Amino acid sequence: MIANAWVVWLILLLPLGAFLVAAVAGRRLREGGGYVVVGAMAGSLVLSLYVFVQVLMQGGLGGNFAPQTITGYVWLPSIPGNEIRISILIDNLSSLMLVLVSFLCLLIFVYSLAYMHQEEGKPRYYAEVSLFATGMLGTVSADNFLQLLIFWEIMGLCSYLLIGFWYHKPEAAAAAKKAFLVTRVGDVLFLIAVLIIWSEFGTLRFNEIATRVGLLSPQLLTLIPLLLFGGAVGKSAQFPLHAWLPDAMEGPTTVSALIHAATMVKAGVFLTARSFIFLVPAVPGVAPPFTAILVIAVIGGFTTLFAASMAVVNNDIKRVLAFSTISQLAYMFLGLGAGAFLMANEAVHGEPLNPAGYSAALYHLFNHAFFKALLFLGAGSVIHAVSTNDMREMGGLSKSMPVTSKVMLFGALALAGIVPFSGFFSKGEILSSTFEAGAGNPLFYLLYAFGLVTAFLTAFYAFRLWYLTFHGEYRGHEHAHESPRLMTFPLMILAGFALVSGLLAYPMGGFGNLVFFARADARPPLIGEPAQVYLLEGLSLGVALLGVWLARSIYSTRRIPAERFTAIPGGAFVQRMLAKRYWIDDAYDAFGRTVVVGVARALDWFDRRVIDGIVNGVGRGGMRIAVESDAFDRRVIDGAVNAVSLETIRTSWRLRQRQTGQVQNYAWVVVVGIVAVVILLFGMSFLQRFLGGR
Amino acid sequence: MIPLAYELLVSAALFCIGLYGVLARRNAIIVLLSIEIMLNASILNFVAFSWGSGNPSGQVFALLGIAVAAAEAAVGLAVFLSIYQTHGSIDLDQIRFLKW
Repeated sequence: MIANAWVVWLILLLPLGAFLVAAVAGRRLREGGGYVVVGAMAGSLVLSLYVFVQVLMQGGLGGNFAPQTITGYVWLPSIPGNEIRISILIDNLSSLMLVLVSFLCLLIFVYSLAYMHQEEGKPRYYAEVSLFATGMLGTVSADNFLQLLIFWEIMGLCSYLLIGFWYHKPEAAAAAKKAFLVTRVGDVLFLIAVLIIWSEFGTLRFNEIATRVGLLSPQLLTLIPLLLFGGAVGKSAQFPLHAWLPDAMEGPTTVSALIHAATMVKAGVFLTARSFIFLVPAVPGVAPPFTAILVIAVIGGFTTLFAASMAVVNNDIKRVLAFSTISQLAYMFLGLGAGAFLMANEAVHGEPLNPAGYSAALYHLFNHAFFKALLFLGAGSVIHAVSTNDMREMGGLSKSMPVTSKVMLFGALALAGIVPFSGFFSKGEILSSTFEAGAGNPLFYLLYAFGLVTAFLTAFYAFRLWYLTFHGEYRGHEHAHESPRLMTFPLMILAGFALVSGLLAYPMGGFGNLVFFARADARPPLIGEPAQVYLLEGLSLGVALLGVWLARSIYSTRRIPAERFTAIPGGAFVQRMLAKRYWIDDAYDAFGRTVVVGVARALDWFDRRVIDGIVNGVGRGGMRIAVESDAFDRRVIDGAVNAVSLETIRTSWRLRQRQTGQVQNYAWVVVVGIVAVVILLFGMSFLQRFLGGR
Repeated sequence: MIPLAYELLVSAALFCIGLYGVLARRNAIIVLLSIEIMLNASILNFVAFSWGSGNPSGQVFALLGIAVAAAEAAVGLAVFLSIYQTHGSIDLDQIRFLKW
């Protein structure tokens, strides 16, 4: 139990309040309300830490903190016990995510104070990022699927607004639209999953569903996690819905760091982690959906190599990081898939569950959030200095930007997975879990090979980026200078975390302790493992070092000219294919232009000819009826009325001839009338007497 | 004692004279006089029946009738005076403006 549980609400309400303040009064505040937003986020961080420490104290370390629901108000009334509430679920996973999200958001907001200083529309920016942070905090603390979906969509909206922050730039507007529409595909699948869950269980709460998964048919048990994963694929930009993320770099760099490193794209991984209640049923005797698990692992394994290969040839510093984000997220999905496979196998054989792959994926999420935010913010610092995204116009910046260059080196080392930086531990664990899963299904050996090649490519493009930006001669025209303290300070903090966030697992007694399936026998990484694990870790470190060496040889010492690769047969083709992103974006565009527009044209034709024809026909018919009834009205109805009135007039004309105005005429009439009445009365009484008397 | 029938005959004769005056004469004053005669003929009937039956309320009614006749004559004369002032004549053949 958490003491003073109500403060958890403030974690969400503070950034929400800051959003309202910035949106309403931002224009009148300093920095467009930036200080308010930063302050609110600092408050959220403090409260998140408070919750996190309590969870840790009460058994997060080496034990199991009993998940606690902080019940909120009824949002959708239903039969008692079945209503949908807005509640907060505090368990190991959500308490950790709350700290992670609020901490990174705080650093990014502080950085924004300097980075966005010159920009127009700061109130809008700060309002949107604050709402965005609310969305992410709400997503990770949601108690049920519907609440998760709502905050998930708030994030989707904010990402649209923020990517299109410079909406007057056509590319930014297009990128925002693309991001919104592509993620929408996944969101529809997520929504369908939520509806199925509701109709099957009558509840959307994670804890209740986990105990009832036995109710599902095997088909639905496969379908639901796949649909949820569909949502995750959209949000986390996995193949085939990856196309939006590289374009989303049109937003301000701080937005890229916020959306594409620390928060939004991680929501997909988080959702998949939450869907473990389906993937690894906690109810004995329920067969786990291996198909769904394999789909997750294969999409992850494929996307990681796919995205990393495109990062190799890109010249835009942010795009390289964007592809890298897709690739690293795919690692997490691969880890989740492999972890779920191992656990499901163990559950089938009645063995104790080993959450290694699962915790490795979330471990990587944790580490990646730090080093990718660091890389994005570092890239922002560089862009701030040289006013371009193109790495071909950079170079030699380590002299003019010593701090940025060093922190970026830390980020690159962590991304490449060089010991002891954070990426090494989590990536190594994911790869060893995948290899381990290979014993159960040989497909995982292939995915392991993908992951290993990706480790090489990752190291290569990370250092390609670093060497191109900071080594050699400066190739641009700006007078580069180091960024202000407000920007470098968050960078230095993040660099520190890029170094130590992997090592944090040692004092914690293994990262697996902290997340979801906390277990007493979780171990710190790389201690007391079988020899095979050391071999695998050594292998991934080896290929990473090879990648660094290759990048250094090509882009720094130039011992290997880059032209040699394009010179070999097919090399130029590969280079072009990667630069064109495997033509997938073109294919989507062509699909949109031909199929969608074709269908739209056909529908338009149908609309014009058939629907409009029917409507017009009905209209003409109505007009004819109106004309006919008009004639009937005029001739028959009006005729009758006119005839009556004409006859009345004529009769009255005749009658008024009798009104002479001469009193004595009237007197005659009266007299004659009276006489007539008298005669009548006498006549009647006479008749009566005559008839009655007989 | 005079029989009731004689009185009624006198009354009827008076009424007929009055009626002739109303229908035949052209002078409005004469017509008004004739109306008075008819009124008095009916009042005479009241008195006669009151006498014959011994019920005095008929005589009371006769007094009321006389009062009404006086008022009627006053109103009628005022109307004729007004007509004379506006049209210069009280010949009933000329007075025919109350028509359509």
